[in-house]
Amino acid sequence: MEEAVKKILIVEDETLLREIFKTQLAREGFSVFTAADGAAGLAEALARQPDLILLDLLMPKMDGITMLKALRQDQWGARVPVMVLTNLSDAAAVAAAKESGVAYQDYLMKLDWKLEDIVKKIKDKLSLK
Amino acid sequence: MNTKAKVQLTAAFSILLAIGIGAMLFFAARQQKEASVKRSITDGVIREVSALNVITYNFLLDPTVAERTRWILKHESIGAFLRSAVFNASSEQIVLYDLKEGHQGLKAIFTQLTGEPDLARRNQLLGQLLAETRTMVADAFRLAKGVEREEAAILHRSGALIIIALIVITGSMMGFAVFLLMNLAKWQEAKRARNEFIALATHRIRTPLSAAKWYTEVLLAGDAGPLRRAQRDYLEKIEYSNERLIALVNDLLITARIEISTLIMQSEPLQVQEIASQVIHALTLAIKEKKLKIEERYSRAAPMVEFDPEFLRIIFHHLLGNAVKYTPPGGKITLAISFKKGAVVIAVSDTGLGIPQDQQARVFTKLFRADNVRKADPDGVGLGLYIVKAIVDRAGGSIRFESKEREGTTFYVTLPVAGGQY
Repeated sequence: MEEAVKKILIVEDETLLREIFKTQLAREGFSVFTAADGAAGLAEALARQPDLILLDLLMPKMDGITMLKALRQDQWGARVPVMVLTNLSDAAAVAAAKESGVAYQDYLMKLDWKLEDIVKKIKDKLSLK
Repeated sequence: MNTKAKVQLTAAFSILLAIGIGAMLFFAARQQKEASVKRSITDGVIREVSALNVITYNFLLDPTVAERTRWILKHESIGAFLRSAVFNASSEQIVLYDLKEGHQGLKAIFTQLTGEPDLARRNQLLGQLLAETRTMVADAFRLAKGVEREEAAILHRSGALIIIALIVITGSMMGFAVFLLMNLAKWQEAKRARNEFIALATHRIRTPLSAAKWYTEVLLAGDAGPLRRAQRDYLEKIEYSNERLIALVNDLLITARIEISTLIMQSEPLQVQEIASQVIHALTLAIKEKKLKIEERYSRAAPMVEFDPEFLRIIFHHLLGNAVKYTPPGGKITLAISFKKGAVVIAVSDTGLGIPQDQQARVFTKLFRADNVRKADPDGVGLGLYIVKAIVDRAGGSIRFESKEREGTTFYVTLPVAGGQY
């Protein structure tokens, strides 16, 4: 049985980071789309219903936590797996993410992670080998 | 005795007399000044002077105080503390108080500062303060040299925060107390602003570092085409430098948080062994390169406990990282984790350089690096153990070590944890 191509949404305001992620995830065979702020991210998420969302926190227009909260209000959005990928190691942000269903192990500090390991984590999360 | 000799003697005598009178006048003037200062303190009048003025005043007032003050300012940590107190105080008030003068003045200042109307309560507070002072003096004498610092914060009834920092210098066998009066609202506002600035600045610095890290990784993986040997070699050097910069930024951020007391514990259910394994995994490359043997001795039970995972990771990162850095090739590192009721005990041993006996008292001091590790690794900054100690303190735990030069070091950390079956 052939598995359907998994869709990933990257919500990240930094162009350089967004691009390298998109390239590497596409290379791994994912269908990738992106948004550069929380407001666009929310619209994209609800319209395309990805299998997983990679979410930055500090962003213009709408920050990641606000987007996450809004997303969880939606029937579909309440369950979609979200991985926070940020450089904000603020205890308050970790707690807020956790409240919106992002466990500590899915709250990743960008600087602590190699791309390769993030890709592995995404595959684990989507139960892909 | 000839005339010439007589003239010379008379001249010499006149000069001595003049010096004597000058000295008497000087000491009389000094005593008067001193008395007036004492009065102004005992009267509880904390004058509106800037901190720098107070210090300068001490210079002028008493050569011994001046000597000691100069010594304090020269001394790395105390000087830094005083300078930061001075700068933080700005328009606030700061009083430098010499404990040798007895406790009467202190009592008066204390009454004034606390505004505590209840005499019994006030005496109780002062008693605590003095007991702490005495302990510190005793400790400092016991350690024979070095400096102790203690801070106590008391909320004034008027809403001002009083930070009483007691400093004991054993070199000159003298105690000092620094009283810092701050407007609480202003202080909190400043603290909040600084915290926000640090969070934002850190995020801004980390973003380009992340980009450099990931683009280098992709290049090294050959995803953008095959690399020649020299290209790979240079890219690895870029990667190494970037990782060092990342580590430095992380250390600076956490140090800033320690200093403005915004380290917040965020406990999560976790397995201590699992976090240790993650840190060891991150160190694999360095361990392999130096052919170090690493032994993990974990208690059979691996209970879920409640602790801040980030704090725990930082503790392991620095203790194990130091062991790897300062153990010569072929050496051995042992990590033991055991549980007792309500606590986890972590022991990290190495067969490394060891900490020289005469420098052991300063191991947890910020920016301190022992001579032998400075030589072995000139790149370090001396923040690791300071950070570990601050986190352990914040968590209510304890840290100690045993070390012998050229034989090795063992650090023991005990952390209180909630939950788990032991």
